[in-house]
Amino acid sequence: MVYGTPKKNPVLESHFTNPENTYAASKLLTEKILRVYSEKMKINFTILRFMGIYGIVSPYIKQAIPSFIEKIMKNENPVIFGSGKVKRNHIYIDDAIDAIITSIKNKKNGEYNIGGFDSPTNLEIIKIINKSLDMKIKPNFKNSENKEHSFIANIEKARSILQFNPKISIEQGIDKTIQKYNDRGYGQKF
Amino acid sequence: MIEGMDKNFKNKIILVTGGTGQVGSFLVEKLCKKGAKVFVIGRDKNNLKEIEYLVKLKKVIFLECDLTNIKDFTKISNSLKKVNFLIYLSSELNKMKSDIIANANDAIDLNVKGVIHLLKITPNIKGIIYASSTSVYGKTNKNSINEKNITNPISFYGCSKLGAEKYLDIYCKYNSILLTILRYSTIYGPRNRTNQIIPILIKKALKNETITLSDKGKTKRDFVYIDDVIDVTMNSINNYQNGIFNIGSGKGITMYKIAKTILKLTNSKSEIIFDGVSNKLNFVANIEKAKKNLNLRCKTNIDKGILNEIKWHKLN
Repeated sequence: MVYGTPKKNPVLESHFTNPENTYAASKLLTEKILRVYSEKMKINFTILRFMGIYGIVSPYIKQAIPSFIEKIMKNENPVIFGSGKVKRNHIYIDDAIDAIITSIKNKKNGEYNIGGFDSPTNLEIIKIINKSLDMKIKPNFKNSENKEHSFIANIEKARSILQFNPKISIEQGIDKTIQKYNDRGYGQKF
Repeated sequence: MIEGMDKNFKNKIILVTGGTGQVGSFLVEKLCKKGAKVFVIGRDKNNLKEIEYLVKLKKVIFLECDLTNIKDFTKISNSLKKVNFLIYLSSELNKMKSDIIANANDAIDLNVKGVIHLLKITPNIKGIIYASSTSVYGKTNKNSINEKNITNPISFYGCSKLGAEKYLDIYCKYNSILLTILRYSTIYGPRNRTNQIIPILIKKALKNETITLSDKGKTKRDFVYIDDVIDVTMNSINNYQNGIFNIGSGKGITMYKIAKTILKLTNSKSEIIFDGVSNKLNFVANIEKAKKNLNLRCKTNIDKGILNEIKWHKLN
């Protein structure tokens, strides 16, 4: 999110940084401070710029994937803001953890994009969830407040330098996430 | 000067933070002459320096407030409701501490949090000029740095200026406020109370103390004279527009040349030695954007500018 609206996809770490909300601005400021601190103190610093992480069952998460799963499990229509056609390389939680582990092992300075195995649209995600649950629920569309754009992080730098290799496809990730919801009884609860 | 300029100032109620500093004090004097209503925020009402006479004449309303102390804001918030233009010049450079975390905190408190807190109590602002710094760029190999260059500051000060730029950009877009970010390079000239290189060298030269330079004196830096800074800052208030602008001279001068010039103009017996350190911190600003959009003109040559600063140090 430190990049703002991408000039082109996939987005490299060298893309200009133009945060569009205060959360992203705070992340960027922290990156810069850590960089100065690490250089002054001669310590390693690895900055992981994560894409949206999914696969965690939490009632607080209002991101696309968990909200879609919850709705479809409840037999309700998931809500898509915008066209549903923009792409994101969401990352499954296990791959995100792997990125951290491999960074600790490799100790390579710098900023790294960490994104998932593939880059589905929200429409595709809803299809996959439906398939996984053997359901056929259609989404409702609402206008998006902001202009929508695809955001695909280029993860080649993390691949080559940190040996980061995301393995979980969106289909597998959604299956695993739904399994977690079922295990914890969220499916029945709704 | 642009026609109708004074009219643009007469309907402005301007708040200047850092109004007793080098840029601030000259700017406040100019703004008063143009007929603007001016508020100044500063930390110490007993240390108004060059603008004391304006406060006594009631041409400037001085509000005592430490921008890093949120409790102080309640004292001044009523006075600031009418302010429609903010010029944020505060930037602590003098009180460097040995504890690097403390330095980081100080920079963030003043340059980031200070401006955010201030925005909360100035709801009627229509335009902001934020004094940033070319230190946002950090180390660079290029000969001339434009505003699109990557920003990787090497100091907490640079980080804090960059952070504030980003927060302001979001705030101003969201609230339809015009924002001009001026990235000043190293400013010199009278009223220079910083601990930057030119005043340090002048003070040494006046005492005939040995001057030590890194990089065999070959480091090139961009120095911009205070009058030229004030002119372009006035232009940007008058004709304000969104954007980020480098404000410098656009020319690189070696530290050796600066030192030699100072020694000549002070008739100093100081000796120049090289410490063998090589840090290659060349910096020259590309100023084409400010030349074109803000009518930046560097009228003062370095000899004349340094001479004026020397004269001021001798009297102060």
